Amino acid sequence: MICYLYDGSFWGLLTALAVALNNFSEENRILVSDDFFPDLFTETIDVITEVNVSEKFLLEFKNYLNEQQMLDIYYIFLANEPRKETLLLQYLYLVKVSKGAIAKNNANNLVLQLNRLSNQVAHEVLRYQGLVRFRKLNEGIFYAPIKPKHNIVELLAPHFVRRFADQPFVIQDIERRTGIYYDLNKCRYLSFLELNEKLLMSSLNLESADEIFAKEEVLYQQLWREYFRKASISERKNLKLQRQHLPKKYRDHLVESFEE
Amino acid sequence: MDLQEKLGILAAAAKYDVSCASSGSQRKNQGGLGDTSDSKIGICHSWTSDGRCVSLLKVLFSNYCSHDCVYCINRRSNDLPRATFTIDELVQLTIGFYRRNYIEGLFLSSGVLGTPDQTMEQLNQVVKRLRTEENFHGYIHLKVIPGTSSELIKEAGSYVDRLSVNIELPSEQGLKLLAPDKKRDHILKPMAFIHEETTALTLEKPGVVRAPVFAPAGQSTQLIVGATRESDLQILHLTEKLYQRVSMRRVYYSAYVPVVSNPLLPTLSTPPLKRENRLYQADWLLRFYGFNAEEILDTEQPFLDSELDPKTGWALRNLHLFPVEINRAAKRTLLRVPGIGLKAAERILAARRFGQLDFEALKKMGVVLKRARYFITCQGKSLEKTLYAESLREKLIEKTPLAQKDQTVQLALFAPEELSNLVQKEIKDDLLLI
Repeated sequence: MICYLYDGSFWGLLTALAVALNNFSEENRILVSDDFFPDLFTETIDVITEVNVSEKFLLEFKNYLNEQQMLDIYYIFLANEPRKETLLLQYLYLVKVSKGAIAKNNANNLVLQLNRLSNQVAHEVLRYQGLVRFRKLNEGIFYAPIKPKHNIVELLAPHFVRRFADQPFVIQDIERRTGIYYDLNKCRYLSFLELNEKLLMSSLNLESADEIFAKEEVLYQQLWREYFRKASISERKNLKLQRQHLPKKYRDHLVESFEE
Repeated sequence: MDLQEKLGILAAAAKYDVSCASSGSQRKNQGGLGDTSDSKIGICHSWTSDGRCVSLLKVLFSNYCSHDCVYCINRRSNDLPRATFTIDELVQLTIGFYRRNYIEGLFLSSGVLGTPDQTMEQLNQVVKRLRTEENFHGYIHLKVIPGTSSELIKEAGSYVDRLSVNIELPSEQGLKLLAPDKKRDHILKPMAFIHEETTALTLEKPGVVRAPVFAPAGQSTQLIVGATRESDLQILHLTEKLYQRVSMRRVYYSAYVPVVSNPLLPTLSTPPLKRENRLYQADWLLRFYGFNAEEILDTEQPFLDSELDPKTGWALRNLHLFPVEINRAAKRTLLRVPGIGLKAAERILAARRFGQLDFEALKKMGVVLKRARYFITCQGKSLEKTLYAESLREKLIEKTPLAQKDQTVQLALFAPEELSNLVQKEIKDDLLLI
């Protein structure tokens, strides 16, 4: 068994996949080097990221896969799943051998796992398109903290830029400390965005809201909570259904308040 | 009255309208706020404690009303707090909520302030300001007040994404009895007009440089279920005609919630939620599964079975068409198997190109076999031995706790004599005779 170690970047993963496919064996693994704990039995190879190798790799697989299936590779890269690189390796081996035909066979175990994971990522993007809640800060910027399972913050950019063309905003993944920032001209991905505790605390419980928020912000939050409460039909009360649609782990950074 | 109190009153007054769709428009942002061009499916922003999704700011412009519809909480003679937004308040609320990503847009309806046209003029001013002054391109669903003139509907259609006229009561008798101020024509004429305007534009489009937009997300409507005694068969017939004749995008069903007590109304302690649920299932069969109303129900059985979903009910009455071979059946046949939905059918079609499927493969693909197992074979093999309708029914009925069941036998609950002549009306007698 050989374990290929890469730097954690997408280009690094592609290089590692290209190298590992040249010498494919079912048992081989790919891992981020920071996540690997050395042991006596595993042979390791440190893969140095080479952009031209990665590009060549992408071009090769464009012959086999359609646009959506190519996108799936990137979605898997963003997934929060420790076995994802190895899953990709085994899947792409089958793709190469079958010249792409396997990708449509959703009765195949690997294809199934891959589609499921990719769908989970895509689904979380859709979910957060609805669940992002902006707070208007006194500088006029709109700020939203999120805590997604998968690393999706950059995938939110196109949707929110289209919508809020005239509104500067920041969406921050508060666990990964990453974010996107739109300044009315372009939207940038920020690979490190320091957590502003004070900002986060006012977002969560309105602590020192006067200092941080624009003056109308608290009013809009109150109005929204009132609306949310009054829009419910008490004769149809169904907290279980509510939980199914909106699990509790997604409620932390919303503005509305929930009955227990 | 402060804005928060107003919002509370006018949100509570609008909550019985169930439409929440926000997809199907293709409105591009033009340097301002809002965009619906990437929404092939609607986006839900939250879920209230009744489990319903929140996607639009759903409010009435005013809950003052000159009508006195018996079933409606906002009826003139009902004693409750009343409020009316100013145009400015409503515009600011919509923009403020949208900017914070609370909503997909606005859903605006109203009680009748004076005449229908006077009311509609107010609503039109709100949407006109949002589009022309505020540069707002989010989703707008506007209710047409029954009885509004065509000119005002035409103006509204040029600003909004969806228009809807609520039928509420599925038959003319029901209307006469419970909504004496509304006439059948007040509902049907606007509906037909919207249909003409939307279809005229699609016909016109190819040759024209840029056809004016008219309600690009089409029209929808809503029926209240359980306030009057129409059967499910009558309701489904009406639904079918609405889809066929006025290019209705959606028909919504709303379980009647007893908001006012009146001898003309049934005294239900809980809304008929199960019946509502079954009607939605039947509606899906009409729209996506190639069924027609007559297959789902007939005069001998005019109500949907509360214990079985309508597709399973149909299959049990048509056992001679089963079992279906998964590896050979056409798509439309697969879609008629209980438990096989649109996604499952697509997956089966895609996967069987690569080889014969067995039950294990179906399971792995996420096809649920709970109901389907009795109706299919894989490579000629069956999971169950031949079953007869009665024993099969026993196995397939949904075991619901008693508390969750609707109070059925709607008919017996009506008190006054004058209703008895409404019981078995011919189906042809329903509301829509366009």
